Amino acid sequence: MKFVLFLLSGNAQKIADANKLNFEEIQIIKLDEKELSKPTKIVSLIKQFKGFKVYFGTIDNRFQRFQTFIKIYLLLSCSSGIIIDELGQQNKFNLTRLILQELPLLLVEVVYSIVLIIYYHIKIYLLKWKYTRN
Amino acid sequence: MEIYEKLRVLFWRVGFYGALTEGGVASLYSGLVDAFVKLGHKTIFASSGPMILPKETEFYLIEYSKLLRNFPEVLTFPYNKTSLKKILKIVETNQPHFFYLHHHDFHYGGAKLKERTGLPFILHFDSIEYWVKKNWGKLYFGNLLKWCEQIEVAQADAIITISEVLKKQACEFYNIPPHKVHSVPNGVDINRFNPDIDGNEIRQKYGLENKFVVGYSGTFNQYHGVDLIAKASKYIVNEIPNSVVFFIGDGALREKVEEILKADGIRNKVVITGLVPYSDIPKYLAACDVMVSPITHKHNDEFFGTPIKHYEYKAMGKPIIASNIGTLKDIFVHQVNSFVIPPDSVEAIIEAVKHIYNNPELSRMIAQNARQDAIQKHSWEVNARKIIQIYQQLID
Repeated sequence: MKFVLFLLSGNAQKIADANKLNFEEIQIIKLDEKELSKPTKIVSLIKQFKGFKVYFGTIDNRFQRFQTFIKIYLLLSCSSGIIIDELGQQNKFNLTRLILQELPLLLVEVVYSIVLIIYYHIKIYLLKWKYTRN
Repeated sequence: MEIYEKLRVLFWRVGFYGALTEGGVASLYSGLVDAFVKLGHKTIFASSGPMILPKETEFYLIEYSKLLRNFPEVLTFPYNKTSLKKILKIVETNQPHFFYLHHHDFHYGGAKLKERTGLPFILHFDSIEYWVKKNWGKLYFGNLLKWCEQIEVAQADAIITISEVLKKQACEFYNIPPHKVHSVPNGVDINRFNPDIDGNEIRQKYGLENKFVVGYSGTFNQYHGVDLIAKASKYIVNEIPNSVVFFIGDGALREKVEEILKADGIRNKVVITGLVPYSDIPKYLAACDVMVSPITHKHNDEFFGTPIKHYEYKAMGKPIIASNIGTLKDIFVHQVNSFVIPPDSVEAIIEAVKHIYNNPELSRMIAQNARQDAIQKHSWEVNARKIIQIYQQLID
């Protein structure tokens, strides 16, 4: 089995050690977090490693944004994979969980985000007026 | 009136990436907190994530919502409200004399906290976030970002910028009265970074023993000029006997750097460490013979940053090769405390490294002067004293 680690943040060696992976066997691809906003690029990148076990590496999964999108990219590229970190935490791709739990939650997040964006545009505009009028 | 009493200082860290203990903002906060503790003051720290701080510091965690993690920026809007609730309780419990906040995009909580408590508000401003997002990152909700910055700078009693250049830029951009803004460049822990640290362990680990080690440390991004060093590496390793280029760090340009090194056929003569824990950085720097920092700035204004790594190089007593742009002109003086080169020049890097290699006496002299500079001008204690002075002016 071959392994590829898309390194979003953190130290590849530490991530490998924490997750009991053999560092020498892993192909490491450094990936800037900003790149995650480019679905075509990420999906084709994952597809290039067909047959590999795919990992996304971070310093600490608790603070890694866009994890649902990473799983959607894995789905679109017909792969499975795991988001792993320097602390040994793992967030595994699971199709059932993605469909039944994570995608509905993403939908809630979309709606909530739209509400927040509208609300805070009004609120912050008013605050700006209040605090800067003199 | 001079302050002799023991102050209670509240530090507030709000960045989402403040969740991480590494990086410039973490170094700034831990350096300052440590200095305040050493000066005998009480420190209280409210943070969005874990921090490495002195044991004397009262620490409070104010975490971000776990729901909003898939869209950029949105998670910071409601954090203003949730964090304010908690920080008000912290203020009530600890009764600080003033609070110190590192500015973060889309945050206006400093203004609200000042309004609710009347506490003096010192805002640390190390960039105009609107400019940074527009030029170096991705700008979403530009108006909101500008409004939040306007609110914070309007309500802050004093604003600390990391350079005179940034002071001028911020005053112009947000129409801030200059008397409110104080330029206090970043600093360094002169004990943690010192010339006596042994780099042999790192030299052994990476096979650098008995070699002339040309070091780079920091994020692999455009403005640090890491690609310029990669391009210079071929000439350095071929023209300087027994030399090696040692890249300490990682980042978005890693792939580009690797490509350059492979195309030049020298990948096996260069070491790239990947991201290194901040606590290990002194040992890594100790393993280097010269540090290169070819900062570059491809915009129509002056470079405003004062990367903390420069002060760390100085404190380590290393000969430094640095570009002469923007604020760096105030930090580096050619052939006095550094070897200064024009920006964006691969040739200049190569020539400078060769010059340092061939002139050990000059190398030693600029390294010693750099260390002296760090002690006299750039320690966190010097910065903490300046902040206390600013607070003193506010209450006077």
